[in-house]
Amino acid sequence: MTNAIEIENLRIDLPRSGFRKRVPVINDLNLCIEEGEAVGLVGESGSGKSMTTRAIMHLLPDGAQRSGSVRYRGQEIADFDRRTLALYRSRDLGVIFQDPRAHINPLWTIGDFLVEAVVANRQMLRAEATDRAIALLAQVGISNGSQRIQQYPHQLSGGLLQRVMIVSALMPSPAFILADEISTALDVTVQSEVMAILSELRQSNRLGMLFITHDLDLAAAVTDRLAIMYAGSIVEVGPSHEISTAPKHPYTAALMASRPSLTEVRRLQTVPGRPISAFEAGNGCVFASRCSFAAARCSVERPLARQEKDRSVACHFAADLAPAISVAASQ
Amino acid sequence: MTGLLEVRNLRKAFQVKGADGLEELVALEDLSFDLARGSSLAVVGESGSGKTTLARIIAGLQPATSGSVTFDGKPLAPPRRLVDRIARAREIQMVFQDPFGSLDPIQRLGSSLEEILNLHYPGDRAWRRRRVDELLEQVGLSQEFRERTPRSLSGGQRQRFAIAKAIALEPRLIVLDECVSALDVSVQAQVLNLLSDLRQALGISYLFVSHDLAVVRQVCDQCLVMQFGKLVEMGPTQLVLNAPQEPYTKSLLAAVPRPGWRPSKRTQVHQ
Ligand SMILES: Nc1ncnc2c1ncn2[C@@H]1O[C@H](COP(=O)(O)OP(=O)(O)O)[C@@H](O)[C@H]1O
Ligand SMILES: Nc1ncnc2c1ncn2[C@@H]1O[C@H](COP(=O)(O)OP(=O)(O)O)[C@@H](O)[C@H]1O
Ligand SMILES: [Mg+2]
Ligand SMILES: [Mg+2]
Repeated sequence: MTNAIEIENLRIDLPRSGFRKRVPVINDLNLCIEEGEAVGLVGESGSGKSMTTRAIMHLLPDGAQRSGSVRYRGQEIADFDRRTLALYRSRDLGVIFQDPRAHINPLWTIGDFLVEAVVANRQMLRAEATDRAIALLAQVGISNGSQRIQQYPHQLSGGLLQRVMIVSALMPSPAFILADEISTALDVTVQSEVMAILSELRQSNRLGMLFITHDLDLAAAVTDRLAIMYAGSIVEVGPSHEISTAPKHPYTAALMASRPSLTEVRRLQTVPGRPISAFEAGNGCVFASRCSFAAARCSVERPLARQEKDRSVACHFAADLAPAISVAASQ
Repeated sequence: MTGLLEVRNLRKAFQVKGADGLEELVALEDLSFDLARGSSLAVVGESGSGKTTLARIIAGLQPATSGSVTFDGKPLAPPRRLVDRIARAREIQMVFQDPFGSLDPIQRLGSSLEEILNLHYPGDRAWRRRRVDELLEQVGLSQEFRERTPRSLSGGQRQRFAIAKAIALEPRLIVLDECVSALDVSVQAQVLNLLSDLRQALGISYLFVSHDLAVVRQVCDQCLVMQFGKLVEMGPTQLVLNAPQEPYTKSLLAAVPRPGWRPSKRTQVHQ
């Protein structure tokens, strides 16, 4: 299997008010996504999920300093010339964001919004693009596409608009979908529908996907592998069903144990403090300050990710903790 | 046992601009239910179902179009005079999703709590200071937080402080509108445990508005399901969530991600 995306030792530092020097927001991030594979990136706010999206798009905030590498089909994207980069962003990547209304011009019709980009980059003629838009709208369950393309964004509900965003991402026939919290603002019934549609399209077109969310159960349901992110680093990676049933990193276990259950009431396990960003983590393990299993070594020495078959865990004590963690997560 | 809160035939219509002139948008329609003393009632439903409108009417922030709300046997009308508002504040308090809007960003937490206490119980300064310590401790904020301002707090700390303000006057009912929805999971768990503990310790009732069924199960013993401003079903949370009677409740439950769950296109689509 070849990799669509390879992120290696990525570090991103940003200027931040109140700090003299730039501070890290992504620190030593490693992640590979195979062609056609769906990977879920799960973490709490500030962990660097959206910054990872921006790194993959090579669209970092002003003043950002980047080291390490991000490769698309084996090629370093920082080396792309302007034209290649523009095509990579608009054709190879299909990007879907959390809030469709923030990414759509309210004065444009749905049709203009869907058609304009592929016509502008000369991928299709207008008539051809319009036909494709209507066909894709039908695939996402919007059967009256020829009427919908004449409507304006404010005339559509959030769920419908998010489906339009999916169509927009698929218009140029991308190879890879970047989806950042795309269902967070939707009701659960609409989320279920939108995710089912996206999964179907992804599988029939063999698209790779990075699916970003804070909802571990949702991510596990729609991806092949999960990467759990905390304070700018990935602490654990593995097959989705394994991570969500038998986590190995204390943070993954804590995330699961702190989520209330739909079927039973038990005292929730809590993690003291709040989630931190990369620049707040010291030299040790990023989770050390909140980890109930932390030992002296954890706050001074950053654990390297240890690979064991198809799983990887960045914890000094992952092997010793396995029994304790499986109990914590299942409680 | 009579209800602490009795809601009868509540209706709320907004005048909104439509295609041809003003139209009536009915946010609540013929809603009736009781909230028992010491009970914690969940109000669940999808966005636009009328949850916030109901919460605001009960908290006295908005008048109903028709129908009645009785609190402790007395009719509850929007408080008009200052004395009414002060009296209401000792009975019912509200906590919002983003408490920032209701907090003065630069007033220190200690002085903000003292101000509330002083308004209601002037005099005894030493008592007020002790009470502030006690309140901060009850919501898990150390004494150091006395001197902090809301602007310098994290989301979870801010919500704890909003809860401290809400319990300061020992009200009998707290109306909470999506109060943990914006919090990260690990912080949300702290606030949910806090809410359970406070109810145990103080015997307060909650009207707990949320779109999240798992969260509701954690803090509420009764559950009311709403759709389009109407009551769909109501009963003990355990029953409603384990054995829902109505198709709408079933579709809500079926759509919640959980281990082994798969998304499905069968669920109803709102156009
Ligand atoms: N444009 C920016 N300038 C400076 N710091 C930023 C910017 N965007 C995000 N950050 C910081 O980077 C860290 C990661 O943010 P983000 O990737 O948005 O997290 P997530 O999407 O996981 O919530 C946070 O500490 C955030 O405050
Ligand atoms: N001030 C208002 N003016 C006009 N319509 C409103 C107003 N407040 C709420 N609504 C409408 O009432 C309905 C119920 O809204 P709301 O109570 O906020 O629902 P929920 O909290 O369940 O999402 C929605 O259709 C909303 O657009
Ligand atoms: Mg984000
Ligand atoms: Mg609401």
